[in-house]
Amino acid sequence: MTPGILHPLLAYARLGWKRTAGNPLGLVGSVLLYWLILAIFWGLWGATPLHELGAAGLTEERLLAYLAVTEWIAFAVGLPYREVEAEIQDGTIDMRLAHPIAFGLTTLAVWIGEVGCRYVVLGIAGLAALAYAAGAIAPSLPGAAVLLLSAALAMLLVLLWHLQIGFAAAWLGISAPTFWIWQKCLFVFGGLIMPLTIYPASLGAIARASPFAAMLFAPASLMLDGGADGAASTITLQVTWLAISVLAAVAVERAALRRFLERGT
Amino acid sequence: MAAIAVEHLSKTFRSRQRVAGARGRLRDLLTRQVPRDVPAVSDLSFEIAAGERVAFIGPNGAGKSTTLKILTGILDPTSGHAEVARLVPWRQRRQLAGHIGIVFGQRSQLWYHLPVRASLDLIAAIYSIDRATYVSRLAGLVERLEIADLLDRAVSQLSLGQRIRAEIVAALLHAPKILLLDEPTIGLDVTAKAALRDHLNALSREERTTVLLTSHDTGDIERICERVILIDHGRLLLDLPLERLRRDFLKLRTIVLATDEEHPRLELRGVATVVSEPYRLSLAVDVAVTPIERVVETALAQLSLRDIVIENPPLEAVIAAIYRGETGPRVPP
Repeated sequence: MTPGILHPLLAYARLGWKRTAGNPLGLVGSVLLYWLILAIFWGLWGATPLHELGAAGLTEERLLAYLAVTEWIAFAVGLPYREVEAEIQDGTIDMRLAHPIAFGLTTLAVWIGEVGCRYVVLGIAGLAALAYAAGAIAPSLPGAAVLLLSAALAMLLVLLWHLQIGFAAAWLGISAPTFWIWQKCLFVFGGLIMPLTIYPASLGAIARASPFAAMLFAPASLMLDGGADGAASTITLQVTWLAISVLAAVAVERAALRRFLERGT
Repeated sequence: MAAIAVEHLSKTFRSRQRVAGARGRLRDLLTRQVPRDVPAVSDLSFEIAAGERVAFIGPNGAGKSTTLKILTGILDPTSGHAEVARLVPWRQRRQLAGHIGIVFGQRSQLWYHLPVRASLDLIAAIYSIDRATYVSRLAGLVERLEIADLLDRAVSQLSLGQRIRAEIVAALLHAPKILLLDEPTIGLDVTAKAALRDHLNALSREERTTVLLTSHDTGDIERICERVILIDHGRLLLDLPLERLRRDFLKLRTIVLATDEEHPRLELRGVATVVSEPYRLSLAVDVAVTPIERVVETALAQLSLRDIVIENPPLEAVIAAIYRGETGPRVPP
């Protein structure tokens, strides 16, 4: 990426930020729903004999903190694939393809701006919810820095997959079915509600080997062991999957573009 | 020097015939149908000189939009060659973007929920326009297209006419030398159409922009262009100056008069009554015989008018006349 391209990409990201910040009702709705989910599970775990789950040290507070991170990521990202799907379906992608910067890059830049805004707002909301419900369980300062980095990497990773899912409309005419399958895999293999550490051994192994673990479990697990302990392996895992996902996204975009150039949009 | 050069350009799409319904879907899955070749553009050749304003017309499905997409680089041709601003569009799409402006009437490059200004700021960044140039260029275009009061409004709040004006500003912001317009006035009311045509006409003349315009509206063609390329089934049918099209094919106008007289009548050479109803008269005017101004003057002098509407012949009628080998739609007897 040349320095010349950075300026327009930043402009795209600013546009994304403005688009999210310009919809305060949407942000408030996300925060309320996020809090509601945390409240429901907080109540649920209060009624669950957690010691029977067989994971040492798994308390209601730790589980709530874990969930606060996974849901933070899920809510911050939203459903951006729908935008690519809609642009392909209504042909608006033509206008973007005729621009001097690659569609995938500019789309990601906009999404990063949008997700960045929700990252901040929902991050603060999550922190407030944890402080209210579970007291002082925040990780140490280095742990917090790792968590912020890991959550950002996780969100970027999820966005790269949304881009590919959006492009599915180039072949299928619609991306939603692909998304629903992918999302179920993310929730199950990513450990949205429960950490992979309490999964049955075989399922846990499959989940850990999948990219989904790097999207939810990896950053959220930092809340289980207090922060920076597993930081290096967590970040390494995420960066590895990021590199693979970038290659996959580039390949999918190129294939979709070839199809558009050959068949039209 | 040619701004756009097209040589033996062809585009053929491959399509499989789908059968509707669940049974049809199942059959599609189980049987492999041989794809059918559908030619969209066939052996098309033309050149457009720098600064020329050309209408690219034809009936629906003639291949106009396909050609325009090929020329913008977002569609590969099956064969043939084309150069736009001396670049091969499908090989140099991103470099070409800096030389062309695009307005596809049905598609927007503005961000729907954001103010117009936000999209324009972004376009300035995309094309690396420096701040001073951007400010002065924007000021000129804003004044010319009268969108000063729209800049801070969300695109979603604009009428279609306002949005298209903002689209044109967006397309021209990086000062492209070539402007490709696909149905820019589609869906606009008469006033908005007229204003937009005036703006485009003035802009293209002032900036010596090469314009390639597709439209179904003969008014767009007459007001903006100086040459007409007519295609059908992807093939070139006619390539001639507007003056000749006007003389040979656009010589018929319709005038509808609403009058205070219950049984209005108007008799002039080259003018035929199409519909005569109480308080209303519809006339077909052969402008080669009697200029439209003369008909209006006579109507004003002889009748008490409440309203007057002048209509262009629909493009379909012009094209139909060309197919029939006539020199234009006929004045009804």
